[in-house]
Amino acid sequence: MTMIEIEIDGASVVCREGLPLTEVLMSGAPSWRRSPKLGAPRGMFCGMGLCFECAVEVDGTWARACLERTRAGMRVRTGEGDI
Amino acid sequence: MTAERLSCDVAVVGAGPAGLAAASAAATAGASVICLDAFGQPGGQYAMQPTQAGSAFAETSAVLSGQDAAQQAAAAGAKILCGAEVFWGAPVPGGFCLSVNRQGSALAVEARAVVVAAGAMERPLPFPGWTLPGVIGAGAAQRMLKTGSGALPMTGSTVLAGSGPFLLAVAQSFARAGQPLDHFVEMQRPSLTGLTGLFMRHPDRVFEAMRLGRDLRGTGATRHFGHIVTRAIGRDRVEAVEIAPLDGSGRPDMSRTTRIERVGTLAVGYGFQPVIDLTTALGAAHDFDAALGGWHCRADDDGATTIPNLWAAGETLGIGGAAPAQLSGRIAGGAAAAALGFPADDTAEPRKRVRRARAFAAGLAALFPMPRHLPLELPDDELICRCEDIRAGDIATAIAEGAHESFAVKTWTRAGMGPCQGRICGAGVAAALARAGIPSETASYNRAHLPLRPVPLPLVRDAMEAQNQMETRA
Repeated sequence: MTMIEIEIDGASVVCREGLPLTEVLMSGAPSWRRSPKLGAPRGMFCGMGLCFECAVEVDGTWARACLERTRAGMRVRTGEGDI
Repeated sequence: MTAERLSCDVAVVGAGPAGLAAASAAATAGASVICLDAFGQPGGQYAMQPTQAGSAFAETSAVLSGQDAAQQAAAAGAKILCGAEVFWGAPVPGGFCLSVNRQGSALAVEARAVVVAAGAMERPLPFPGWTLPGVIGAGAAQRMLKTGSGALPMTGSTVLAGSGPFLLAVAQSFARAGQPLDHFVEMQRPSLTGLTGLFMRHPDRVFEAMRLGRDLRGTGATRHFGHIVTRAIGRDRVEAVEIAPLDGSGRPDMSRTTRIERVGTLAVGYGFQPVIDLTTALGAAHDFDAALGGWHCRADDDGATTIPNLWAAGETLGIGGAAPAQLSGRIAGGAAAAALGFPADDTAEPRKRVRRARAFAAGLAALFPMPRHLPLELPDDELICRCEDIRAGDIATAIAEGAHESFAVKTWTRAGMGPCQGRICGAGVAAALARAGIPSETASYNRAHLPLRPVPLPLVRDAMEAQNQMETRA
C-alpha cells in the first residue's frame, strides 16, 4: 500500500492511496457539513453517489466524497471548514 | 465550451451485471456500443471493485465476474466509459440523445437505441433519529468494507438493522473483512416452512444460503430477529440505538425496548427500489409491484419498454438480484441490436434461465415482504426530506390539505427538489402517503426533471445545445 498526503480544510493528512474519501473523513468525525435550514450536522448516508449528503469541494470543484478516491496532493474543503 | 459528441447504434446506461451483458450482446451482434457508468470502474454495486491491493474481496466470485464481464464487453467491441453520469435523456430524430457528466465535462451521446440498466438503490425509510451522522445505509457500510481499507472508520459498536436477504449479504461482508459486527437486527422472522419450501424448489441456492447463515454467526453479532430499530439517539452523531420486538400485530412492543449503548455506526437497509429516473424522463410506462421493489419500468420479455428502441434490463425492471439482471441484459442487448437490423441471437436458453432466477427472487421477496412504511410513530419534527430539511409534520399537513400524490407533496413542500431529486425522500414521502391511506399505486412516483443528477450549469447548457442541434437537424 502507498501512503500519500492530502489536505483537508488546510490540514495535512497522511492516508492510503485510493481509499474512498469518506473513509478518511469519517475517521475524524461522521459529519462534515450542515443541512440548509436547520444547520444540523450531516455526513455520508447512501455511500453510492445518490443522496449528496457527503458533498465536499475537491480541488475547487463540488464533489461527492463517497465517489472520490484519495490521491496525493488533493485539496479537500468541507462545510465544517473555512469556506 | 461545446459538449463532446459521440454516436453509436446502442447506448447502454449502467455497467453492472445487466449493462455489461447488454453491451456484450449488442456488440457481438455487430452494433457499435457505448456503455456509460457513473462510477470509476465497471461492475456496478454487485461487482464493485476493491481499491486496495490485498483486499479480502479481491478474489471473490462477484468481483471476478465483474472483471470478466467488462473484459468480454470490451473484447466484443463495446466502448465502456466510466466516471460518466447520465443526467438527462431525450428522443431526437432517429434515436436518443443522452446528456452525460463525464468527469466535469459535458458529453452528448447520440444513439439509435438505448438500453437502460440503471440498477437499484436502497429504499431508505425514515425513523426517529435517522438523519444523525453515523446512521448510514446498509449498502454504504458494505461499499466501505469492499472498496476501503476493510475496516469501518468510526469508533464504537456497529449495528446492522433493517430487513431482507441483503442484510445477510452485508453481514457476510463484515465476516469476510474480519470487521466486528456487534448487533444484527432483522424485522422479520422468516418461517422455517417458508424457507424450506423455497429451497426445495431451488436446491441450487441452498449452499449460498447456508454460507450466509454461517457467516452471520461468524461475525459474533448478537442476533435480534423480529426486532426493529425504534430510535437512533445522539446529539451530533449516533451514540445509542433503541430496538424493540414486534408484537403479533407487527407493531413494536415499546414496553420491551433495549438500548444498545456506545454505538458508532448504525447501518440500516429495508430493501431496494429500482432506479427509474432515466426511464421516466424518457416517457416509458412504469408499474407498481411491491414484490419488485415498487415502481419499475414496464417491459416485455425482450426488455422492450413502451417507447420504441428504448430497452430496459436488470433491476430497472424490478428487484431480483444479479443473476436475472445479467440474463435480462443479455436478452435486451441482443434484442436492441436485432431491432436495428443486426443478426438476432438465439435467446431461448437465457429466457428459460431468467424465468427461474426471477422465480427465486420472487420467493425470497415473499419471505421478506417489503414494508410500505415502518410501524413507528414519526414525531412531527422528524425529517423526511434530508436535502431541504422538510419535516414529517410539514408533509402530513400537505397531505391533509389535499396533496395526494408524490408530485403534489413535492410542489407543496419542496420534498424531492433538493440534490437527491427525490431518490432518498421518495420512499419516505410514499410511506407518509401510505400511512394517510393513499397507496403507492395511486400516489405514483416522483417525476423526473432536468438535470436528473446535480451538475454544474455550464454542462447542462453545453449538453442541451448539442441535444437541440440533434433535434433540429434536417
